Amino acid sequence: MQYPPMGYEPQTMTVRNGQTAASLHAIEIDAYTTWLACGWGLGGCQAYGPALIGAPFVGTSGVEFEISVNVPEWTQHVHMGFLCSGLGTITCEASSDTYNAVLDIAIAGTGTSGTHSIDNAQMVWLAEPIGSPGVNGLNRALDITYQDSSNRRTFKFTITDADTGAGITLEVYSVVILPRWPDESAALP
Amino acid sequence: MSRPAPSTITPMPVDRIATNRAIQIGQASAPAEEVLMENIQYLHCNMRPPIVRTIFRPDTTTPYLVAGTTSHVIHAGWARAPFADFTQWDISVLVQNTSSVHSAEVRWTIQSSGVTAVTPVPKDTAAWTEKATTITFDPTETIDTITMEIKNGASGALRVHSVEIRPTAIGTVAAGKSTGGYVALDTDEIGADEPLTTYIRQRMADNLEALRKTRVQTIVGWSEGFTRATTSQFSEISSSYVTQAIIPFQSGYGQTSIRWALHGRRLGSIGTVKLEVYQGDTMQDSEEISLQTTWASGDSPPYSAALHDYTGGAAVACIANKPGHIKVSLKGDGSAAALMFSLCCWFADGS
Repeated sequence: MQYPPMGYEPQTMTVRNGQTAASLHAIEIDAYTTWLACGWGLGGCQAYGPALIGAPFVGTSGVEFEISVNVPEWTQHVHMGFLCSGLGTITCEASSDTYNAVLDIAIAGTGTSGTHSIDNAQMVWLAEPIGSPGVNGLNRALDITYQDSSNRRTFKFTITDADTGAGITLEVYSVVILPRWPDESAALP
Repeated sequence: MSRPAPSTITPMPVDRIATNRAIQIGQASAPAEEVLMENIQYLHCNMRPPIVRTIFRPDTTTPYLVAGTTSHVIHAGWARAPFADFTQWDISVLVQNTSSVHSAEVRWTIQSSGVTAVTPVPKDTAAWTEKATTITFDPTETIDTITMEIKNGASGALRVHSVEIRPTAIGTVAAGKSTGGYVALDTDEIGADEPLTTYIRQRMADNLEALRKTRVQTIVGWSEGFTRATTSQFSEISSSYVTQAIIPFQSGYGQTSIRWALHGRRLGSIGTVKLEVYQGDTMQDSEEISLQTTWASGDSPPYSAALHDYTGGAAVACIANKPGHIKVSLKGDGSAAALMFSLCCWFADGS
């Protein structure tokens, strides 16, 4: 299909008879194929999954993490989600994006530094993508070079405490990298 | 005869397969029927979810593992099910070598076969440089462990920051029905610019079903701390369960069961891991794993006695098409810790 089949659900082939059966079946097969490739099916889940779990960073500033990921075909943007607690910022970068994206985190408990606890942590996601960001520092999904085959991209995220000296810190427990596809108004290349 | 293994996918213009006409409208390069088939074949070759995605953090300030010696030492290991129709893993690792004189290396081993592959890390490799390696695995294994050993050169230090492991794309499509249920199609069968036969149409649909059900994604592929016999990233002394990790996931269509494998041990009389699957506020299922204790008595690499997996316990249930998270908890005996060194979770084949 030229357009991603939003909302498609896998199904067995419909029984059809007559002259148009071949083309109707072809349309069904084409929709299923595009759905798998586009990411509402398994294709998209290729890149879903935590990259970082375990003991969180505590009381450190500007700590960088990088990972190279195989991004599925037709990915246009990548969301990143962070399971975290505390106060600070997370700067996200992609090797295919000129500008970074910055996520402000404010999940505080009691006290100036907040109460860090994985049980009370919340999942925070980058906001929706922006057509032409033009500057660093926006809260947005990162851009991916748009192409019809999978490709490798390196993602970097930098965790910065609000004020390490004052004990106002940010802890990140888990990271999810989630590809996004164009909406149905955009033809696939 | 030609069973193509395309490297790209071609969006099908609507006018080539529009309703009320047979799909025999040809184009310069290939008839529409052939493009339809090639796109499915592309998925067969390239739909390859990663099984491992780990960024190392041995302590709260160091985002990398270091090779402490000039000998190979196991630092990480991941146990999980291979994919039926692939035979090799692509391993991508981000590394740094501080030596200006000597190269270092990362070595990968498949436990079931003993097959090894080495990723050389040349001198003066800056942080973080991607290095790639391919290793052959046995697709018939139920669970298999990949271990990662790292060693320094004669000078300097090798640092390993992160790893991704995924199947290597299929380059040659074999005839007949694959183990995963995929039947390769041939351009001779469908390239005649004629309407597809009912059999071929059904075969295409069945192939798509086979791909959806068998190329299931990984929820988590994490490991760290194999060299630390008495400490770990995840360590708990308390005799009550304490949350160690929360792992978000999104189940897909027909995915109702989560399989798992982990490496762990206990230092005292009791050491247990609990996996709980939550979707919304509801806990759907849970599994408790009593950890073994033989490490202290001499278990050696690749620490197979420390491996626990769903075949010795049970897979945990989830609801299809719904976001959720896996909560991982540990408990010791109140004076000695329970430790976990790796955790891989993936969806069982779909329905």
